[in-house]
Amino acid sequence: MRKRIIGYSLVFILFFLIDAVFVPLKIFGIGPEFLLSATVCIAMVEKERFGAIFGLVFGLFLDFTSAAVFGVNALTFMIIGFIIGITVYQKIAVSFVGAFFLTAVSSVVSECILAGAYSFFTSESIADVFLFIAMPKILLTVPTVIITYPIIRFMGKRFALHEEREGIW
Amino acid sequence: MRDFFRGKFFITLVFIACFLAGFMLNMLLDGGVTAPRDLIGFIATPFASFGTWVKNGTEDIINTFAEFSELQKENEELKKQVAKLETELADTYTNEVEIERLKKLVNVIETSHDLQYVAADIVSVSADGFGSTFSVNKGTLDGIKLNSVVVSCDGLVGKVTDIGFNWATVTAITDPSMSVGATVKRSEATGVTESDVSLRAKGLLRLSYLTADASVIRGDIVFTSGLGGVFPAGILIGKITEVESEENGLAQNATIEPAASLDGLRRVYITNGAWAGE
Repeated sequence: MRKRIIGYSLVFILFFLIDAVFVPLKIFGIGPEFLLSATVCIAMVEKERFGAIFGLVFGLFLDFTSAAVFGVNALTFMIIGFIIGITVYQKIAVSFVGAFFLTAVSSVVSECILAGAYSFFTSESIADVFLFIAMPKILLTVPTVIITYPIIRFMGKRFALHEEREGIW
Repeated sequence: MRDFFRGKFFITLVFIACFLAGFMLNMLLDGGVTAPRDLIGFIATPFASFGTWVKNGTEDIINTFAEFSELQKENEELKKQVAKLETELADTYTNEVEIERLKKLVNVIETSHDLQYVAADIVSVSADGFGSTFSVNKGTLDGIKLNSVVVSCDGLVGKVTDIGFNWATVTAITDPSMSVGATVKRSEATGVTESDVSLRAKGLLRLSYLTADASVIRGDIVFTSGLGGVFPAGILIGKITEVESEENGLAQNATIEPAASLDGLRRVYITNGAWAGE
């Protein structure tokens, strides 16, 4: 358990730095959200407890760098991590296609809600908010699964193997 | 499944969700920094500072190799320019003495902002599109306060909108929530710079509330006017790229290209104290 927490925390630091410091690609000043796809992948591999807890932590740190209201990413990521954790267990197989699909759905749903709320509170045109914020964010975030899924899947397998050998799980 | 939703873990999650919702509501109503944000900032800033250090170091190394031959040529050019400027400096000194003498004659009172600047490195940027903000590695421990003015070598960047011990969040002038009192240098026409989602995406500003007869043309330089009490007068904002009249013909709007671009910005200068207005 401790190794899992330390391992995923290191993954978190890596993706946090990519999201907040390195920002590899930008469209209209918007970068990809590696932490969202990481939350989805952790929830798929480790189920709802890890999904919700890491979603909460990832979201809180993302909130620090975000211009949105503090706490909104934490709440969104926690719910995403939890729901994916309990649905994947029963409905969707842990696979790259599944991770891609769930990240796309999570990204679209969360961005639509955030864009709608932003438009409501700031009286910005809903079309502009979708065109200049939601669309670029979704387009940049979904492909990040190509990087996050293999890393988290590999780590999950290694931890499971290690715990099996040690007889912990 | 029913047991699961009655379990301790689910109840804890619901409690956290309620706490976060209440927390956000409080932020929306009151604004400002709250203890959890300050704590997260305190933990995140050293990691982000380290990441920035790695990023800047890597970029510097790549740039050094990529631009070595160009730098050599540039060095030669700069040496020639230094020699030329040294001769011009002597003339400038003579002119300055003359200007000081004339100022005393006409009793000109110069405005002095009397503010000192603290250099701060940008450690993280907001790339979520809901605003133009970034965090720096200096906070209240360095004398920075809420509403402290932030500039770069090129011009006005923004103001401090959130602050913790070792971090501060800067909201750039291109953020839709920001407005700055501005004046056109050539004609002294005054207005207010604003932004919206589409302008922010292009990194531009709008100069609003210009009267219909205000003389504003493409290429005009815009400075802060000092009106509004947050930004002192005389800080460069940018250059006008487009002017258009409103449909009713009563006012004009101009588009400004900010002098200080956030792209590639690494270091900013922050006043150690908010400007109280003149």
